Amino acid sequence: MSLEVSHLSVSYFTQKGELRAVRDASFSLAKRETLGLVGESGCGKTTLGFALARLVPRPGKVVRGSVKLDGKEILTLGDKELRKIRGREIAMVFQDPTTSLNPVKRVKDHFVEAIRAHQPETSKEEAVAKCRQILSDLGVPEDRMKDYPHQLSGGLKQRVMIGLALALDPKVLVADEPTTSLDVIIEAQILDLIGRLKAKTDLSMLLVTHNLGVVAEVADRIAIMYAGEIMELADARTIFRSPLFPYTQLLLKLVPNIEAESASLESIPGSPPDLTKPRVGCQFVPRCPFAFARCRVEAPVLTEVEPGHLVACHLYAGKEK
Amino acid sequence: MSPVCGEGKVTYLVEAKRLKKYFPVRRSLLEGVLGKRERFLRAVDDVTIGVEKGTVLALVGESGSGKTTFGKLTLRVHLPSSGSVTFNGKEVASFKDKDLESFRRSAQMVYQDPTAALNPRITIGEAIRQPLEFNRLGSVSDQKERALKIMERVGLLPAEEFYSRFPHELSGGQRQRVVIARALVLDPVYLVADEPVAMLDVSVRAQILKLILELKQELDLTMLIITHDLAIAKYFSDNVAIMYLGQIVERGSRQDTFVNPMHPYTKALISSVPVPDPERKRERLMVPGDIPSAINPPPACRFHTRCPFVFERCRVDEPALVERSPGHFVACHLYDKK
Repeated sequence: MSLEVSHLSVSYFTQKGELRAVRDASFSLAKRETLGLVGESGCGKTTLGFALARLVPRPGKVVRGSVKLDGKEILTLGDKELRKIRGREIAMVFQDPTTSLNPVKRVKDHFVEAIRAHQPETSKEEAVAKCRQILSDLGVPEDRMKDYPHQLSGGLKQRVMIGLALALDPKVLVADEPTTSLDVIIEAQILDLIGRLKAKTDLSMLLVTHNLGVVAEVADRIAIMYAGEIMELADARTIFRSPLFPYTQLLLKLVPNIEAESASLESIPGSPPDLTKPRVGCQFVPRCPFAFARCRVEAPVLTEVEPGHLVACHLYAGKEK
Repeated sequence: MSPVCGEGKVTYLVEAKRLKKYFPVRRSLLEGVLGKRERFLRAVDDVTIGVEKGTVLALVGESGSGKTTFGKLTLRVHLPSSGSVTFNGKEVASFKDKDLESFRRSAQMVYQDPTAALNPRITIGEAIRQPLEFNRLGSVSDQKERALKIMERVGLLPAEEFYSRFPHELSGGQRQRVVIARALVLDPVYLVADEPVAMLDVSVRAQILKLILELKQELDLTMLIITHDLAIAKYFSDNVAIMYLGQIVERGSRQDTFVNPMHPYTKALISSVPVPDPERKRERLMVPGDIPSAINPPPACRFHTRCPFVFERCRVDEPALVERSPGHFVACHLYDKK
């Protein structure tokens, strides 16, 4: 087992009170596995991804739970040990490559800085050689190493970001909407690249996205998040073929499929709950077509109802394995 | 060039003929001193298409293809460098005074980012009423009444309550409803929707698209939807035009475009869209590289630098948009090969 997250809760302490962005999230990520974390804006998926590398920005704080990487607890590490882990064991790719690169540094200098910060014994020449190797694997022309970020297109910038994340051979890669800001043709190129990385390396990946099409392409397992909680977790095929949680079922009907005959004009009425309000019962109740009395008073717990298929929903009560 | 005018019984509300828009690129001081030639970004480069009365035309392309510039040219936000845009058969650039005012009322735009399109310090009711005030239409109480009516129609309910709210109190979907209401309060006949749902979550996208289409029917609007999302073009348009580096490479009915795409770029776009089905492994037409710069577009066929089927002629000879089947136009040399 590579990464083990249990009962993780993250809150933002705002003027309006405590905003519970992530509640009681538990999942594991095996070696070579890609887990897709899917949900709408504001569901806490990015916060959860950030929490794995302890990057939750203020006023956010992990209030509970644990994140273990190969048995080692990450949440209690001191700053010095944490710096050793970030980049080397857990690396991140952010949504917007433009704001993640330093505009006054050349591409290769980003690599030299990142590599030498962790491995000071590496010479500059060695670091540049490594940069050349990684970028050529990612399909970035060699002469682009000398370019500044503004000289690169969106697709190239995202390749450089992925290259930087891989520079120190991390075990876990957290990719937050890595293709959202890209055009479809470039998105296809990046997804193809991620697919090849998966086949070639031992990398475990958490792919955070709102796009079910993207996770269908690359994820082995999928976790569906709603209002800060993981509501359903199963292998990709099961999520798409036999989803159990009503929100997942509705969401799948809404996803535009370019291959379908016609588009569904359905929508999920209402909007997600205010996460600063105290939780009573299931968070999806106001929008759920199947809600009954128990849903309003008792919060469902993520339970395994079929081998490998977990759901937090009272509809399946009594089916626990 | 394509024989657009007088094609069958088609009547175009908006029609562009050999339309070009070149933006000058700022020269550096040194380049100025050295007397370097001024360069231009060719955002729209010789486009001839029309939007048929009462239909929805989807203009599809990647970022930087010039689709938004085209939309703005049809609204006279930009004036063309050459070529023309006509509205109801009249040259848009020639409108003056009264005619211009009436054109401005008839042709409206819905923007991509509703947060940026609304003034945070003006209540949404006032934002919707203001266009009526600027056009001196009726008394203030008439204007208010009309604003409330359109707010009800776009689903901002209860309208009275929403009237005095500020944009930050609304969700993204509600804000987009405000932008739509503001565009429609002047009873336009032509609406340009520039990526109207790109900023919204999947669960509200369908609602907003459905609303736009219902309003289109009710108000008998003619629409140009600008989008990079092929699913929207496929399900919400009558005709589709595919744009690449300032030019139209293929256009036709939506059946033509999605059932029988012909241009390699169209095929690549369609096959690049991720399909929400983990068991469906498609043969994907991969296109390498990025869209080149519109300042120095590749000569001859602009797509030849990335096209998987490129051959000699594509590098020397610019393909014309040719009608390959009734109403289906393609600019590609592949179909001249015997």
